[in-house]
Amino acid sequence: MRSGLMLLEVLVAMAILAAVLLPLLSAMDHSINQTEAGADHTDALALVQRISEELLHASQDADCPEALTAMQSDAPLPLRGGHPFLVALEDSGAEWGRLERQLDVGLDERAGETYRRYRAFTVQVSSAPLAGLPGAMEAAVRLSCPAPGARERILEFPLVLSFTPHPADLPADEPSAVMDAAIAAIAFARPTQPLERLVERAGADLNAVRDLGAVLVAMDALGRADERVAPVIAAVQQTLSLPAAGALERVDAETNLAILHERRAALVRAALLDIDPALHRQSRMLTRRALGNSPLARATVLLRMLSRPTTGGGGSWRIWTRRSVTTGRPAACWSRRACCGSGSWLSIARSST
Amino acid sequence: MTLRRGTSLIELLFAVSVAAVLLGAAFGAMIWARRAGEAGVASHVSAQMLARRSMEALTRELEESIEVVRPPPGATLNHLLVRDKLNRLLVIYPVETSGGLSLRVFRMDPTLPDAVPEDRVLVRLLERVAFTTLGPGMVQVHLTVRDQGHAYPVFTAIRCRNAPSEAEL
Repeated sequence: MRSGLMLLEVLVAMAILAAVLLPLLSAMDHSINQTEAGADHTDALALVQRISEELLHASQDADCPEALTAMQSDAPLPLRGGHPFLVALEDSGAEWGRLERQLDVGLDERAGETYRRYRAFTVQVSSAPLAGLPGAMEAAVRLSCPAPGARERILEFPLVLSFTPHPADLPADEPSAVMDAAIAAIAFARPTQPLERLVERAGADLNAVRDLGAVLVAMDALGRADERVAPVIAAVQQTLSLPAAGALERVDAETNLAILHERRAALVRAALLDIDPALHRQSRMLTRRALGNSPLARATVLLRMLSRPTTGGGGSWRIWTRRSVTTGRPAACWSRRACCGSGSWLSIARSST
Repeated sequence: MTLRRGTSLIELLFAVSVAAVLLGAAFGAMIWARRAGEAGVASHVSAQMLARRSMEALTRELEESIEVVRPPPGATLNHLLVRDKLNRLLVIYPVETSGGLSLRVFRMDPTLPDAVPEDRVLVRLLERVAFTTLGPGMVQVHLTVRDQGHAYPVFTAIRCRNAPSEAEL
């Protein structure tokens, strides 16, 4: 009579089998993980390259520190669904010539393979001033994507950025004597008289007059700059309206128009940066008596600007544009990509959003 | 006392052959999976390399330019027209081929009307291509290559190195 297999024999056989198979399975799993990690890393490098371009653009070309602020987030944000970096990859619908959040192709199904590859990624950008280097910031780009076992694969890339003061071609930064003379000329129409005497005669407060006078001077400079560029824009637009204009000529004219609008927007942005502190200060502390019977008290434009809601730094300037290339960021982060087409400073409004 | 019968040669050979078949199958499966994985990784890497080479080729052509003429700022097209510092016009346009899309580059010099324009293939095996102008001197390229069944997307913004700076504008 033959006996069956003993439990011990079965266990030994299974142990031998497991000892042979487990290392094989483990090696395969390890190999798959390595491959996936390599693929994710390559994808992450491509993403970081794109993000670095945006950050470097903000620091080098546009020289717009606010752009960096707008790109930062306290927590990782998923790339799909309107992340600032991939909010508008392509212009895909009306209004043509303008990249708009949620209307144009961003990281959504319409982006095809790009969406399938990057939809699981989250991105967080943080920055801090670099000690010992004024104007330099160290930005950290942190990417993460799901890894096997409900884990997360995290990749960090540091980046050093350099910001320099923007070259504002406006008189706000000029010495106080020059500014006082400009205020006396523009606000009081008395260019030869000292501002202190004019203010004293009007029974006004010197600091309030200097603040609001600087706003008037900046707006005046902006208006004069606009007067210079407006005829050029009109001429280019006339070229475009000519039916006989050839294709290349039209392309040239359109490009020139975009450049002119860019210059206009740059000037508006510089003016906003210059007048914002004064407006902000005076919107909180200005009293009717502070302007006395000076012409500034009757400057309705100034009073209208002051009556706009301000939120103590939480507000943002909005530049109304006719044709602009934006990436859905706050308008305060204007960069050279924006093309301001609506013209004068009167179209500038302060928004508390 | 009961005596247990030992394993016969037939039983031993049978057990060894079963184990050999099992192990052989396991090794075979592993080798197949490894080869399939390697082939997958190889084609994936090949697609990545192709994407990178394509982008490098485009960057080399475009970075010497002074301005992006077409598409206009903010617009997206599947072709591109730039002007280089010698005032030559460079057109990069897609052509449908049996292996997918190819990008061809056509360069003409308006100052030399008798010269034969350059027209050559720049990039092959594309599935999708889009050029978006972000400014007069910057264009975003978004393309997907497909090589050996694997698609790989790549997107980057290329700056014209000779474009006038903001201050010059």
